[in-house]
Amino acid sequence: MATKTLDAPAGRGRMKPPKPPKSAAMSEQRFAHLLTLPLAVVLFAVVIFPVLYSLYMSFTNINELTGVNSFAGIQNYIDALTSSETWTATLKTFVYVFWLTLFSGGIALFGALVLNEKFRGRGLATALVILPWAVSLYAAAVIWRYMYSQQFGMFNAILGAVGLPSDVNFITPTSALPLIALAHAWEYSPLGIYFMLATLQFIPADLYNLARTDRLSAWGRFRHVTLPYLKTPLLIFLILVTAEATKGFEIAYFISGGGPGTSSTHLVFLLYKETFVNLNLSYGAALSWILLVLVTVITLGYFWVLMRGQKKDPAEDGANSADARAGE
Amino acid sequence: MRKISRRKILVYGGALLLLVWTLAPIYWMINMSLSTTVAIGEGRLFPSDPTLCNYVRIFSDTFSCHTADGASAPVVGQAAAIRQGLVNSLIISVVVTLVTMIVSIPAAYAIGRLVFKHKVKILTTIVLSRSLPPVAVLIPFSSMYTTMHLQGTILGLIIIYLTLTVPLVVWILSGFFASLPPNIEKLARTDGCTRFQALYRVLLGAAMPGVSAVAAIAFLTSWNEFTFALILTPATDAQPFPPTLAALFSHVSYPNTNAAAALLAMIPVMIMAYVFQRRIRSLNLVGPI
Repeated sequence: MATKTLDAPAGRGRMKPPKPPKSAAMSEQRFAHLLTLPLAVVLFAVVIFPVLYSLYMSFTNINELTGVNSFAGIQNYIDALTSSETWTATLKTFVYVFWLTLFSGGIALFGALVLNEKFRGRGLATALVILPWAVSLYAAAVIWRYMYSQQFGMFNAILGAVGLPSDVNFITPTSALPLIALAHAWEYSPLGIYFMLATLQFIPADLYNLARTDRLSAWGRFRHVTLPYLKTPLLIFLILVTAEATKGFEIAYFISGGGPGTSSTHLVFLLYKETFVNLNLSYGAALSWILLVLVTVITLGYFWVLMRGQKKDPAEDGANSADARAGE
Repeated sequence: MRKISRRKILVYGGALLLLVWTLAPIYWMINMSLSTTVAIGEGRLFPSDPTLCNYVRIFSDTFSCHTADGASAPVVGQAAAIRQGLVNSLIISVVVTLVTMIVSIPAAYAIGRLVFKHKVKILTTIVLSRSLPPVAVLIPFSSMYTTMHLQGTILGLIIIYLTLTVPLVVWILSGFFASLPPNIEKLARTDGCTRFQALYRVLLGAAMPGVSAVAAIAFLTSWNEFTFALILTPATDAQPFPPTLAALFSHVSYPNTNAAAALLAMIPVMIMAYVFQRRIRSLNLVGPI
């Protein structure tokens, strides 16, 4: 044993094998670390450090004028959590998430089912459907501001064209949130359409044929063949929609400006107002952490549903259960 | 026979509904941008006397164009800001896309195709950063930028845009790399390639369509960014197009001109998305969940 370990390095030194090219000799481990090093640096600089800095800010009183910061403890959090504005905005966030989920989920499901059928012009339709996603949220906000506009809006123009009163004010305290969510859904649902369409195209045609020989109705085929496949992607999409709802700042900014009154001031908009209009940076930082906790809770809720659904179904995914059901 | 035709009606009706829903808002912008100020007040569904006047007005403060209704269209007076905004947007988007791809391609390759120790940590950070609302990200950045004198600069915007593009691109691209056939590198290595050469082979061969589509997504993301720019570069020379457009809304009360300006920013991205849509669709945008 001892002689072996002594001999080995000496032997290697004597032989001096030709050095292989550097990166061929590199272990996979080192190669991977080398490749991910720039990413790690960037992530630290633009994500991890700012997040930690924001946490620091939330425990500090920042005075931008004097530049003197003082430790605030959890005062900012207490202020935020005892402010009725926060709770109203939280409630509005839930309402907004509800509407956005309903609209985006519904449109995405409808779009995917339509585009999965064979019809003339299907390729073109599939390509055009992506446009709202491409123009992005702020452009969608601009567009829908003019869709709803009392003076220049399309909806009012249509009402006028069929002879109805054409100066309806659509954005009212009760309608603001759902209407903003509808505009948001217009922009966001193409992603869901594509995602679910990809899933639908995986469903083997045989399943439908089987279902047909079993004399399942169209609804039955949808319920027992299509739906089991769509359950998981739909839930995943809904998780994303929830996270997306907290990004709906620009759409409220353009369409309603958080109003009328404060009727569409959900948490993200309140965050913007407190931080960048009232210039309350520390308070805003604390508020943003409250928002993050909220989003995480909702997202975990969905994950829980997703995991439970999969556990109930010992077959790894919807595919097998569809198989089983259609075969029944 | 009757059943088939009923199905046909359903499918075509559904397709029509989907297309109207998708395109009507875009059509309305086109309609507005081609309408005279008078026509727009009347709420016409089609542009009577279509005019390109609005497009001219946003680029020139001196060109006076007379509309079909005889009234001379007032000058908007924002041409310089709009031109500057478009140029800034282009510079920022190109630089952000380049930096994002340089940082993300090797990392996504490693995450998608190699086994290594800190993969989970990196993926967790990426998921975390993807769920941060931009307004929340802005709070620490705006404070840091004040002390670092990056407020109101193009460089500042480029850096903060990386918080959006890098996680998104790594997320999509690593899933894409993982979906490629597993033995490309093995073949390359037996040919005597180094690991880097094997990477190039994957990149230039199978991965090119996906990589170009993801680069297009990175470009769209920075071209379309609004919130960061609104807060960090208001009324400065560094202001990209989206906040310039927002300013147009508060300065100018010509909805037809605003519509023309908004469409101007949308046309390039719509063309890009249309061109890349097949490739974009083949990627899993939702990510490797």
